[in-house]
Amino acid sequence: MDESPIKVLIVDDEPGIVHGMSRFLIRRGFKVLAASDGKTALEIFEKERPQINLIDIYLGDLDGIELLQKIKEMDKNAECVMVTRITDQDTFDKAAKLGARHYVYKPFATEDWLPKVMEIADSIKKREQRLGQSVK
Amino acid sequence: MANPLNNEQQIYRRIKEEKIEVDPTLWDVMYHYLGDYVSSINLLAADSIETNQPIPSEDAKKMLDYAMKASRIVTKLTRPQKIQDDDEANLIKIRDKKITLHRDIQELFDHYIPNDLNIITMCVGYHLEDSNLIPLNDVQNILSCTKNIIHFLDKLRIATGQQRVIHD
Repeated sequence: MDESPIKVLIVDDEPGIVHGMSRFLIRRGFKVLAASDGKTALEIFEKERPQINLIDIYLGDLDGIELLQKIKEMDKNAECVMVTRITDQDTFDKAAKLGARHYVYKPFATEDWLPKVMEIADSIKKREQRLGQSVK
Repeated sequence: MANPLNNEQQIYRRIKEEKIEVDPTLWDVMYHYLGDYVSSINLLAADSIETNQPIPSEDAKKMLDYAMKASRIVTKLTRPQKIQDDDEANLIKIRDKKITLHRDIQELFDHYIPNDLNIITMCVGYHLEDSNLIPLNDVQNILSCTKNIIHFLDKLRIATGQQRVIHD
């Protein structure tokens, strides 16, 4: 990874998930930010503008879908992966409409979420390269 | 991993044909707690495998805690009479409204989940008491147990019509 690492925000109220995911991401050169609730997540997003956001749909204070909507309003290019247990079709439709890139079901294994993050990171890098070339 | 039940195919066929569902409150508790605890154990085990390092006691204690909490939830879901007044609201709702798992789903649940959770608990507990490090061959077993649970819950989700069309 180059000098400015891709920022990943993990939003989950279970510390074991946050710590566990962080280890894999930090090892791969990402800068990891974490929030255990929607309000903190929004504050972090506003300040840090993470390019990738892993959002648990069920948050205590703020629905993960509301969080997705607010993030997309602030930055339509922000990539969001929704982490969910069972949910209804309506929630999936809303998330899809708002531009969620992927879904990950809980409980998950590493191979369920990590390749998705890596794929997004790859597409971000390619997008940045294209932008860099067009500026030149 | 537990051997497949003799009547497993028949059970899944019945679930499909009779459109057997799981009450949303049960789903919520099941996937919320098992989702968090099993994913957390999986992350710790997978981290150890990726770094080729045995699991230190600090992580082993967390693993044991998650496995025991998951086991307690499974007990309460399958035996609602064990639910206490100070448990969370959804569990009390399950007990008070007598929401139960369909017997076919309970049979699958009883067969697959507790077995793998017990293996994790015993394996981690043994090493914590003994050497405080979990060697990689046992970490691999723990990782397999979490994958078995994930696989089973995925299969159950699909069988009971909880599978959604998603765009990725």
